[in-house]
Amino acid sequence: MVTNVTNLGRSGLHDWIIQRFSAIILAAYSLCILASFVINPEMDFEKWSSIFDNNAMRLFSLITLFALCAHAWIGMWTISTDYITSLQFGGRATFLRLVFQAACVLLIAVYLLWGIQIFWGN
Amino acid sequence: MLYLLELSLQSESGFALVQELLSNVFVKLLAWAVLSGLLYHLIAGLKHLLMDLGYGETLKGGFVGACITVALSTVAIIVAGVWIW
Repeated sequence: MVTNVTNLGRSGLHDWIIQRFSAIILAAYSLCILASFVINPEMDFEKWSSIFDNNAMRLFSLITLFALCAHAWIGMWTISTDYITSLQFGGRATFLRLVFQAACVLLIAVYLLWGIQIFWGN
Repeated sequence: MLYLLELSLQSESGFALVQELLSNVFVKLLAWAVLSGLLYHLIAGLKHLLMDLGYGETLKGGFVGACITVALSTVAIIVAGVWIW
């Protein structure tokens, strides 16, 4: 039985719901960006930066960034608990899994803060 | 990708630098690889959301869903490739 220590949600079901909810946000955001490229094929700096100037898009981008971090954390946690197991690696599996998860979470934190800086900084 | 986004939003010159970077074949290949992964994940994810709603849960439904996903993803990845090149 996998203990819910390093997962994001309070329970398996909570993870499941966060995963779906964040997926919908991510899909919506991806389609918006895709649409913006289709609508103005010749994208220049003014148009591109104007998209991210209006506040609604900034908020949407930041919300999407948080959704991406939650989605990634749950996804990578699921993968690590599926594959980095004692069946595969023997006694040291737990250590390996924790190192893997720590690396993932660190990377996610970096992307989160970097993204916030991009949208909020300038 | 975040790096390209950061550069492109910083300034006019940043945006120009991104355009220049994107003309380099290796960067194009990298962008295409990342985009392909995203497109496949997005389409397969949408299929999963549909399955959560109860569609395509039978053996046949699963098979059909998988075929559609692979077909759609291939088309999307090719279109993305054309768009990048």
